[in-house]
Order: sequence, then structure tokens, then C-alpha cells
Amino acid sequence: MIAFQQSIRTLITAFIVFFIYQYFKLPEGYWLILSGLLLAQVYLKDLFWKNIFLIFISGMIIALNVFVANFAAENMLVLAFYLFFTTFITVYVGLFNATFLLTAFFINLLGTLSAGLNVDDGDIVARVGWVLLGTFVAMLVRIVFWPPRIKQELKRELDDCLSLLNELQKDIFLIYLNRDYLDKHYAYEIELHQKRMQILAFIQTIRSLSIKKAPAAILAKKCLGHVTNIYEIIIALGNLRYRVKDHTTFEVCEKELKKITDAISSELTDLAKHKSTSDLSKLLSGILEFEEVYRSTLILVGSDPIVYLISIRNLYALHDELKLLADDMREI
Amino acid sequence: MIRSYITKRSLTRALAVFIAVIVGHSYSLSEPFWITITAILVMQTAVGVTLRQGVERFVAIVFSVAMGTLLAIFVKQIVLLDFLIIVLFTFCCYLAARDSTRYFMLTAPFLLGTTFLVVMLLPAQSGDVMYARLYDVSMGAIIGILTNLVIFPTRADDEFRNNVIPVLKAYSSYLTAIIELLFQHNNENAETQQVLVEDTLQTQSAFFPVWVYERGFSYALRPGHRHFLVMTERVAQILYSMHHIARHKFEPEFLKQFHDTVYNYLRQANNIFQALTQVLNLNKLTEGVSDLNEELIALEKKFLEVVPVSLELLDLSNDYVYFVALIADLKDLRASLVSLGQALR
Repeated sequence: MIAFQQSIRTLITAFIVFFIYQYFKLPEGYWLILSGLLLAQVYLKDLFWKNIFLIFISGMIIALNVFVANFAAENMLVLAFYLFFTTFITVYVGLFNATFLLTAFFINLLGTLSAGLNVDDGDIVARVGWVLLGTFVAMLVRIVFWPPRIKQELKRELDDCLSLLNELQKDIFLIYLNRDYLDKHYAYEIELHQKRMQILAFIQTIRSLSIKKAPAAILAKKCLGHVTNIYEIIIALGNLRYRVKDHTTFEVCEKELKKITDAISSELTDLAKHKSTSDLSKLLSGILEFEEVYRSTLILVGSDPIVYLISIRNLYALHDELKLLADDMREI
Repeated sequence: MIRSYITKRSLTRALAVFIAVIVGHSYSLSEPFWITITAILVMQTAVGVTLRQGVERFVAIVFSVAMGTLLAIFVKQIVLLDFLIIVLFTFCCYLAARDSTRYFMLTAPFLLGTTFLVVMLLPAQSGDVMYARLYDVSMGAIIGILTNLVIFPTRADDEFRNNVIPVLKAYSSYLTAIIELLFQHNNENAETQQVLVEDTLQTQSAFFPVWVYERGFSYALRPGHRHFLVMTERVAQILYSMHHIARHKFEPEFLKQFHDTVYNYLRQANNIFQALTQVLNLNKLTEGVSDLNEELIALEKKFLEVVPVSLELLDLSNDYVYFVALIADLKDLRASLVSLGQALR
């Protein structure tokens, strides 16, 4: 969703800058497009005004760098040293703090470009002017189109996070249903790793919403608690793959596990679409059936039956947590 | 250590730009900035995949330069050309934003989109210019990739150690906070430490991306690295599971009985984390470290004294089941830490 909104902002910025460029047809006008479109990519999942400030400061630094680089280009050695230092500083800052990685890159890139396209004094002033105008356009589009409100942002982040949690739980249960984990260990782990990292990123964003000074931040904190708990429980359910040495044992409870994962998937999907009715009866019946299989069969055939008992307890905890999340999400 | 890595990376890229400017001044066939810009772009690689990602970025740049130049030559209607630039650039940025969480810039789609934008805004009038640009782009790629490989090359062993150490330290603090949450219900510290672990894992994930799970050739990849990183991730999963258990409100009288044994385990587990960190810092271990076997046996013995042995009776109480789950996690943690220690030999 964020990627889609960013793309729309990019499109709007692009139409504005291209229109101005083609309408006025003034020298160095393409710098308006370069600065506008590149700065439109700046996006921090953080305070709205932090985004605006970052775009503004980056635009100023780009304008300065473009100006100085143009004059440095008159002498090859001077240029080489100048770009050496600006590259060192921008790369260092970008790697030191990931917040500035993108803007540092743009500063470096546009400075290099300006040096390679050096012009006389009149045109360089025009070039700097276009960079500043491009910065202004990027800021304006950010302010006007979809200024985020906490509730909207929370909704968006939760939707994406819940979808990913759903993918994660499906992948984990797939291990138990396919039973080829030991042969394809790394193939499964790479999928789990990628989803875990993405979920952590969303949890961090929801956390940043929960500490803002706004009434909706309280709701964000509640949802954060539930989402984190759900994530922990799903991870705990996944630990079964290490504890059960013989995965063929899962054949015994395959039907029940399938029912459980389908029920979890259905609920997480409904939550992501804000259509949850808090009716988790399918999940509950799946857990009860799994518990029945545990008591009648797994307790006898399993090499370490306790691990199944732990999983059953985790499933009940997941059921409770999903119910609580559904109740809180009604306020969004 | 992270700063040392950042300083070296910054110096390497700055040197590449320096060389590219000198070379471009004398040998460039088109606009000299193509050599410098290509050198910058192909150096946007993650640890351990310098050559592979460098070549991937080079191919993306060649494609965008070729396509962009040809479009600029053959599409005469300005409005159509502008429309194509807008659509293609937006699409590339969408792909980049969709796939990346933090390190937006390192993705090939964004580099492709940026290069394409530059090419289309500086149109060529003939096909000869395209060949000249491709020549310059190739030179820039050679300078960038070679500089990355030769000057302060990323020594995967060093970077690996430098990036794992903060993770292990974060795990140790998180484990302590979880145990404190279990006994003292201090959730704030546990959540703070959890955030620290998340940040550290995200940073590590950016430096060591998916290659650690990939099959196929990677000169920096050794089975030991992969195994170590997989085990490290496993520790995180165990800790998250423990955090969930620690949130459960145990009966204080029940839990009190295990205080000493659990804290003893914690002490020894933290000793192991410290020992691992020492070894990764290339220091010798000055004293022996427990493998947590005795501590676990003591904990299980205590548990059996307090709780009925039979499985059927275990789930009479949530406290019993949750504590059994805790012991299972502590066992898994032990297995993972022992495995990490063995991987370091």
C-alpha cells in the first residue's frame, strides 16, 4: 500500500515538473525534473513533518553541491578531490544513519552530474533555481496528497502486517504438512527469514505510531501489543519444526493442522480487510480436534509428546489474542 | 567496528570516484559523468556479493542506457517521450519501494529507474552516442567493481564477525530482560530489549542479505558462516517464544521455587554469550564455560519435585504447561548456543 501511494505521489510530481519544464522551456529546466522526482522518493515511516524537513534540507544541500561542483569542474584535479570528499561524506553519513541513505545518495549523484555538465555563471544560477523549485514541488505534493493521519497510517500498517503474519503462519504450517523440511531446510528458512524481517519492519512502524502525541496513538499501542504477541506465538509454533525429529509424525494430525492453519488464515485475512466478526469458532474447533488427536495418538506415538501439548497451549493463546485484536481493531 | 566498516566503505567509494574522474577526463567518449556515475552505482552492493551484485547493476545500467538512448532517438513526439519517462520511472520506483524495507537504494529497479531518467533527460541525437555511452558505462563499471574488490576489500570474515557481535550482545540483554519479566513483571525493559534486538537484526539483515540461505557459488560464503547465521536466527526465535511465555501471569508461590535455578541458568547462558563474543573478537578464552547441561538438569529436577510427572495431569494447570514450555525453550537455547560454540572452532 505504501509503495502504491508513493508511486501515485511520484506520478503527480512527475506530471507537475514535466508540465512546468515543457511549458517554460527554459535552460537547465531538466534539473527541475531530476530534483523533483528524486526527492519525491524520500519517505520516512515517521513523523510527517520530519519527511518534509528532510526533503527541504536535502534540496538545499543538493542545490549547494550542484553549484560548487559546477565550478570545481573547471580543473580536473580540483574536481577529483571535491567529488572524493563529497562522496566520502555522503556515503559515510548514509551508512551511519540509514535515514539519510537515500538523500545522501541523491546529493552525491546530482553533484557528480552537475560537474559533468558544467555551464557558465548564468546557467548555473538557473540550474540551482530549478533544483530549489523541484524541492518545493516535492514538498508540496507530500503535504497536499495523503498527509498521513495516525489512524489511517495505523490501518495501513496493520493491514500489511497482518497479511505478512498470515503468510508466515502459512509457511510454518506448510512445513508440518509437506514434511520435507529436513531435505529442503534452507529453502524453507529463506522464506521464513524474509517474512520475519518484513514483519519486524512493520512492527517498528506501528511502534513509532504508538509513541506519537495523539489520541489514536493509544489505539496504536494496543494493536502493537496484540500484533507483537501474535508474532511471538507464531514464532513459538514454528519452533516445533526443530523439536520434532521425525516429521512423518505430523501425518497423524495432518487434517487437524490443515483446519487450524486455514482458520488462522481466514481470521487474519478478515482482520486485514477489517471484516472480522470475532467468530473464531472454526479455529477453536480445529484446536480441540488437534487436542483430541494429541490425547488419543500423539501422546503414544510422539517421541516427546510434551512439545505438542505446548503447541496446543500456544494455539489457544493465539485464539485469545486474535479475539482481542479483532475487538480493538473495530475502533479503527 | 561498524564505524571501521563504514569508514572503509566510504573511502573505497570516494577513491573509485576519484579514479573515475581522472580516467573520464582523458578517456571518456561521451559525457564524462557516465564513468563516475556508473562507478558509484555498481558499488551499491551488500557484503559478500560484491562481484555478483556489481555485475547485476552494470547490466541494469547498460539496459537502461541502451533503451533510454534508443527511445530518445526514435520517439520524436515530446509528449509521448515524457509520458514514457514518467511511466517507466514510476514503475521502477514502485518495484523498489515494494521490495525493500529500509535499504531502498540498494535495489536494482531503483538504480535502473534513476539511470533511465538521466539518460532520457539528456537525449542523444544518434546511435553513435549510445555506443560511446555504453563504452563509458563499461569503464565506470570496471573501475567501480575492481575498486570494491581490491581497495579495502570487504573481508567477509571480518564483516561477519563485526556484525554478529552486536546481535549476540543484544540477545544476552534480551534474555536477561525476559527472565526479569518472568519474575518481576518488568515488561518495559523486556520491550526495550526486544526493540534493540529487532533493530540489530534489521541492520544485520541489510549487511548480510538473503545470500546466507542461497545455494550456488559465492566466494565469500562458507558453510560455517551460513550455519552460524542460521543458528543465530534460531536464538532470536527462541527468545521471542520465551518472551511470550514470560508474559503469562504465573502464581508467585509456584514461580518462586524456580528462582535460583533459572537465574543460575541465566548466568551461565550469559557467560556463553560473552565467550562467543570474546572468540569473535579474536581473544582467547580465559576460563571455562558451562554447556548449560548441569543447570538444565537442576531445573528439570526441581520441576519434577514440584509438579506431577504424568502428562495427563500436566495440563491441569496453565502454569505447569507454560513452565514446561519455558524449559523446552531453555533446552533449545542450550542446543543453539552449543552449536554456535562448535561452529566457531
